[in-house]
Amino acid sequence: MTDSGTTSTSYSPIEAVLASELARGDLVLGTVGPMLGMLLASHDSALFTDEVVAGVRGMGLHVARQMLTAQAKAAGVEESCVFAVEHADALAEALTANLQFLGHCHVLALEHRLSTHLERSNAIDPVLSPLLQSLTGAPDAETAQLAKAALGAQARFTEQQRRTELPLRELPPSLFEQALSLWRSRATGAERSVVEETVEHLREAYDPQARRVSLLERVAGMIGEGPRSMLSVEHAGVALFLSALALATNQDRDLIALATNESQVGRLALALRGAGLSPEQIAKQFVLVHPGVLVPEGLDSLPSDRAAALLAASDRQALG
Amino acid sequence: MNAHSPSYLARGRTDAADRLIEADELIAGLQRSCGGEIPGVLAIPALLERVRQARIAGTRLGGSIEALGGEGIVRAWVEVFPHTAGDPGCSIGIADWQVSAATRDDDRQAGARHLEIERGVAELWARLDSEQRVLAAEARAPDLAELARKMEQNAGRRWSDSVELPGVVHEQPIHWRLLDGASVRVPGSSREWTATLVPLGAPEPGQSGFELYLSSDAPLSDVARRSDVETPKAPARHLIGQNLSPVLRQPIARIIANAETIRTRLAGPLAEEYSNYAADIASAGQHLLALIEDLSDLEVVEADDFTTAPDEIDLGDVARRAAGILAVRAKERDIELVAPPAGSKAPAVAEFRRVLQILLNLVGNAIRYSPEGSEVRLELSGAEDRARVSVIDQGAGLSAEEQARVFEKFERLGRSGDGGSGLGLYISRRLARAMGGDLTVRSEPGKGATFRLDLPPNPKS
Repeated sequence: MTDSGTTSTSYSPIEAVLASELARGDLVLGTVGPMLGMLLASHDSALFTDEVVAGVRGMGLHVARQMLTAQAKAAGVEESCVFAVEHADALAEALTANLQFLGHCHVLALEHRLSTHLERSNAIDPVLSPLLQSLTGAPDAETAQLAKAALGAQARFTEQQRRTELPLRELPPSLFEQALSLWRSRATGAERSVVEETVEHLREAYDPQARRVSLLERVAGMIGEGPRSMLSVEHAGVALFLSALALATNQDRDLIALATNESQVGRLALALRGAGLSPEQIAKQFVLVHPGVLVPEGLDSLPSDRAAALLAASDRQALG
Repeated sequence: MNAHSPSYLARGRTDAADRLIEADELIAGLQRSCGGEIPGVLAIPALLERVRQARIAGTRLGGSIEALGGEGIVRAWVEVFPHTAGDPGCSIGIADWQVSAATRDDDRQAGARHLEIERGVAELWARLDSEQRVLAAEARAPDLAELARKMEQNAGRRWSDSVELPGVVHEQPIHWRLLDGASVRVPGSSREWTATLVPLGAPEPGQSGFELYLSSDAPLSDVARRSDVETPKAPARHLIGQNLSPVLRQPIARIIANAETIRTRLAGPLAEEYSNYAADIASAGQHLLALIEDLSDLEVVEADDFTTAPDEIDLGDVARRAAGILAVRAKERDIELVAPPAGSKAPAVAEFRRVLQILLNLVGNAIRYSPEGSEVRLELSGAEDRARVSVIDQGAGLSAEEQARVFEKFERLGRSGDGGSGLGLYISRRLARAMGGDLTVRSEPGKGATFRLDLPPNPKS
């Protein structure tokens, strides 16, 4: 609060505190207009429901708590949970100031929201899809093993999302490193050896190949020539569908997940068309993801490769 | 208006730790129905917040609060006055008080809320397929980590294979409804667990599988947390009182309550015979409950460290109370219950509650085993060294050999089917002796029986 640069030697302590409070207030006032405008424009949007916002906040706190708990353990603090909870708010605030991190959490919350929505309205299981189930029984042991691992990871994901948790080991490598270095930069009070031990411990537990998204991607890639069966929400389940669509369109999975939001109808239609689905097949997906929204007319006149090209030319290729 | 203004409907006082130390009934009642005590930390969340704010700010604060009390939703206007420097507490004044009926969740909402809570407190979850075979499992408590690992290792096998289900006697495979809410024992964990099964899929619940949650009422204690280095504690000597009695009481009470509802046809018209069946269920439940009470009492009196809390009491008063409590039951059997005349006293030193328990047992027996139309009398007598209350009946009496056995544990003297446990007299005598007294019987076959409770007299009287 006092390190925002407004502190000057000519300020008395109370002046410094109030001046920095004033600067903070100014910052908030500057964002009120755009934020309110955004909320009004996306009235009823799933993007900013209380549930999604709470989920994002919870995930930020959880990531913070995990690093702090590891730090407390390395330092030999007896009540590591208490230490973590005490410091989590400040660290989480810093973490979520990173727009890439924030965007990733947001996408996970939206994916979970879509999954639970489809489970309720269409009995599409968020974990055990018909496709995944058949793969776990595949005669090829490697396939079955991979499918089982993906299934387990997906089951954990669903449970974590209910608790608004995001384990460090599920973060994409770049965000994992960013989170670590952010924590490091703030753990100034800790001894060097404690910091080193914590980092080592956290790195050891991190296996990018074991992430849910990696496993799903490998399952999606395994099908090779027959990805069409995966491009059905009903058959593949939301998680595998998103991974398969991202793979088929060569797009960022997070971006594809965001495309299931009603403000991104065009992106979803282009992605599905770009992945080679017929307008009828696209309509089948739309009726599940966006009941009540009609597939843009004339899709059949848009060749698949043109759709893919349009998508690739979009300004947005990643979140943040 | 200040804290002493007479226009307040109710007043209260808190201390530096926001504990309610004094309150008029309006506030006290709400405090209790919110689960609090007096003195005790303010249990009314909205009021606690107001008091805390006013105390910290050091300035008078008025505002409305809303709280869910026993009678419904209370909306009140409160004014909080922090005391001056010497006394860090606050005074509370209630200026307006409205109670409206609480809106209740419908069953579906209540179910959803219950499930969310269950998910929140569960310390192990697992995803099962439609045959209840484990697909994935994860533990959040150290004493369940081994179980989760085993479940994942044995993926493809039923979850129930990895745990013990003490209350379930059915052959495998067990229908999920029988396992939902079942108590579970986990190897390596000293805690008692409850399983929650959530069926997934539609239209047939469970067709896509289940979610399994294990939760426990007990937190993982520090001792248990270190259990891997320490040898586990020897199992408790007694099972019923410490472990089972609280668990059994609730479901049996529910059985009784529901059976009573059916018996009295509260939920609608019903054929006579079904109402009678319900009456049988209710009375069987009551017997069961009484038996559990006896068994847990037994453990208490048999414990090595059992003591009573003696007080100055009047046996005449206790005897009259016992007679009052059992008057209805006596009347049902057309038995005249004669209590000591009002004003007669027998001062003694004993624990009131325990003496009442003994007398209720003695008088209850007398009513149960005496012929209809007879008389049961409670008489006081005293001597230098004892205060005595006698329970005299006109029943069949006891032979010398029966008198010798009647105080033994589980002794029924050949009776059965009346709901007695054979523990009442045994417990009563143990209680009497623990208080420095004794319980004896005088009887002859055909001439009724006299049970005499002797207790130390009160020398001050």
